[in-house]
Amino acid sequence: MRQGKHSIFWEIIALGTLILGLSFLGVPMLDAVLKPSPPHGIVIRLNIVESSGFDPSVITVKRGEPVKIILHGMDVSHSLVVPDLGIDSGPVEPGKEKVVEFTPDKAGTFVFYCGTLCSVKHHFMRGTIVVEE
Amino acid sequence: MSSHVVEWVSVKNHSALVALTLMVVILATGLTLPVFGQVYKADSQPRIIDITAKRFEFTPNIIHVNAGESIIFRIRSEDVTHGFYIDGYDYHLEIPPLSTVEVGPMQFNELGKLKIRCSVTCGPIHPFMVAEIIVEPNYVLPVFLVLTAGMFGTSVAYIGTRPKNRMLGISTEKELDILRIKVIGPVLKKFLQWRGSNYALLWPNLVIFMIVFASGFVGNPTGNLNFSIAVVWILWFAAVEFMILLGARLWCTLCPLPAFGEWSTRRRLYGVHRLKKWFSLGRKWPKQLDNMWIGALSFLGISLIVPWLVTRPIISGLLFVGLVSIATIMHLVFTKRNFCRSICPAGAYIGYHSVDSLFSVRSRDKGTCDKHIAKECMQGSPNGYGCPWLLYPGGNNDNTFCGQCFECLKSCSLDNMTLKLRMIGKDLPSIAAKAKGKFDEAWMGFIRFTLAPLYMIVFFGPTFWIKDWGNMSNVYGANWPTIGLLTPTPNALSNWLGWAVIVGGLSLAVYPAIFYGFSWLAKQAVGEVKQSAKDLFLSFSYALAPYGMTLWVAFALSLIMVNWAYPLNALLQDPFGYGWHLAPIDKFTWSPLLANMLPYIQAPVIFIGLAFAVNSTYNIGMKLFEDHSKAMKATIVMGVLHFAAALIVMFILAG
Repeated sequence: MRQGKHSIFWEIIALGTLILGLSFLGVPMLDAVLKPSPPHGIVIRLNIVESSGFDPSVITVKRGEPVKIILHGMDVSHSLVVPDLGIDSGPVEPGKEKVVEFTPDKAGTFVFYCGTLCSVKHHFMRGTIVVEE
Repeated sequence: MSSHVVEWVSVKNHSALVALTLMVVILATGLTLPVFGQVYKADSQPRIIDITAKRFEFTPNIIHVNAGESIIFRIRSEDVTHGFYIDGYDYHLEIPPLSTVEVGPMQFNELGKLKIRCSVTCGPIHPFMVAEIIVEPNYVLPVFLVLTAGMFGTSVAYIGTRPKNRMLGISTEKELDILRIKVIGPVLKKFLQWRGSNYALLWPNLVIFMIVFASGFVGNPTGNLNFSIAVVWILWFAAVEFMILLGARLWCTLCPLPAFGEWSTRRRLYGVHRLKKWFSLGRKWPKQLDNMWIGALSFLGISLIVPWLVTRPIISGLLFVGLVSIATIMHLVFTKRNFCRSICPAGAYIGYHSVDSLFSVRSRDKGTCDKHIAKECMQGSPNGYGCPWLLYPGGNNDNTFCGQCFECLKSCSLDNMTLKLRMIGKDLPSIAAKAKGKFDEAWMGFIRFTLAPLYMIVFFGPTFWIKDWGNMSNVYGANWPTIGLLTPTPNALSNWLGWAVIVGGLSLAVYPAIFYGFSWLAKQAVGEVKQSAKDLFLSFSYALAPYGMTLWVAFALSLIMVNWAYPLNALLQDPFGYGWHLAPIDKFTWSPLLANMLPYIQAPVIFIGLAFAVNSTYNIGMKLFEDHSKAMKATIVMGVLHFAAALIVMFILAG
């Protein structure tokens, strides 16, 4: 209850917990760990072009291997359309996910774009999917 | 215990009992109104109502339908994907861009006002994209108006029975020594006297603030998906109003903003450093600034940018970085909590309303403190610092500047400091009677009181232009990398000036002027007294402390009951809006809780506020004039103004 002889001990404990508390500033860096990565799936974050568009906007996959794309809506509703591969995710609401699974059967570089009007620069919201042999 | 309770609430006067009973009946009527308001009519040919949704408005924004009428809504989105949700109806519709969706036929059987809300995040102002359906005949409004009048009438009738030192039948003289309650008391005392208690209470909020900083700068640019917005401006902002009521400046106990500065000056996190000299320049804070002016004006300043602050993470991030920096620098220059006393915008309004809290830190016996030469609560002792808030805790009778750091509980060697539970309005009359020259606190009251109904209109009303002016017509969310998207156009800036004039003008000039007018009338009504109209103006303004608090509680209820899912998801699952799933449960779907019941919960809260305002004015009047009939006359005049304010709020809730 009262301040005892061990106050330096408590001071050090407090300093340790303070540093631990301050370290939470770095929590966004955990994204690299918490975000699913291949083979669990490729995360594409959907932003309007004014912020960062498709994030990432270039993805690389292998022909004949199943692909799982996890779409996460960031700001307004978007969608992912890859006409050459016959993919249309349908609208993805902000704060929600949609999973697109397919197995590419041809190699090449294919354009994908957002199929849901999202901002004045909606038509510039594009990316590419590279299917390697 | 039970004898205590009887002592506290005993109403000796028969007519007072009748008045109080009627008040309870009025509150109950408000709450149960929806049960009586059901009307069923024969079905008819469906009527089609066309609505367009566009960021961030529905057109038309007010829709009148007849009870029982068969309605089909045909909603078209003119830009991005929107949602369509009606309070109390389980439709979560998605309206894709440039397309039309129909819903219905549906009927509305509850009379009164229902809100249409956007249910798919469509941009920063999305949580406040609102339209209204008025189900005719709207009996709810006249019933609310009559109940308000009834509440005013019964409040005046109640004070007509000469209740002495009472607030609505409950004694304002009795206090409960919390630290002497069985079991809880000793445990709480042991905890609060432990030197690590402040740090332990504060630490979780330190972690939360780190996440607020991080999410404000690099989190999802969309506010409702970002911790810094969802947790701070939905959960915290609402929770603080309840904290004030139950715990006065309890938030100040928990607040990490000034902690870095305080730890630095003390060079201690835990213990008491008995320094001759603090790690600080030790300057004296100017006397003319040792009041609430800067805090009140910075609260108003924040209100001028509030449509951005509560929707753009980066604005919140920058605000908090700014506040921590100022607080730290001020500690290093002025040593003590001058930032909290005089600068902090939250500190100002929390302090202002805290005088009416149920909670206080007080001495058990003031005589003991006055005789005690050591004055450890001011000077400090090996167990605790002298009051960092620059008070004399042993003689303190005013919550306004008591930051509840509990140092006096630790430093006092006579075990004379304690926590007390008391009725709302205990200290108010004596504080109000000594209001001479305290324009700062009066204006804090006016600003808070004016902004509560204004926020109800801006955030949860259907009027788009006022949201748009405050928001500078900007459709982008923003974090640090995308802050450039907030660059306003000249046209938007000139609209914002209009918004600033409305917000600033109403709270700084219009309402205070009206209040002064009523104070002048009150002066005429009471006749010969030694106080001037200006004195009455300042003293009676303190009735806005409890009244304003209830208005904000009503606002906080709509904030949290509608949007509870956003802060919960940010806390438990995905603080940065990156798509994380931290907890092994599903994310909460946005789904308002009892939103169709909100007006019936909010209105009784306002009724209680009106009764508080009337009773407080009377208690202040008694303190000033020491004469029942003069206090009564003044209360009736000022009461008319408070009654009018309640009527305006009823129009906002149900009109």
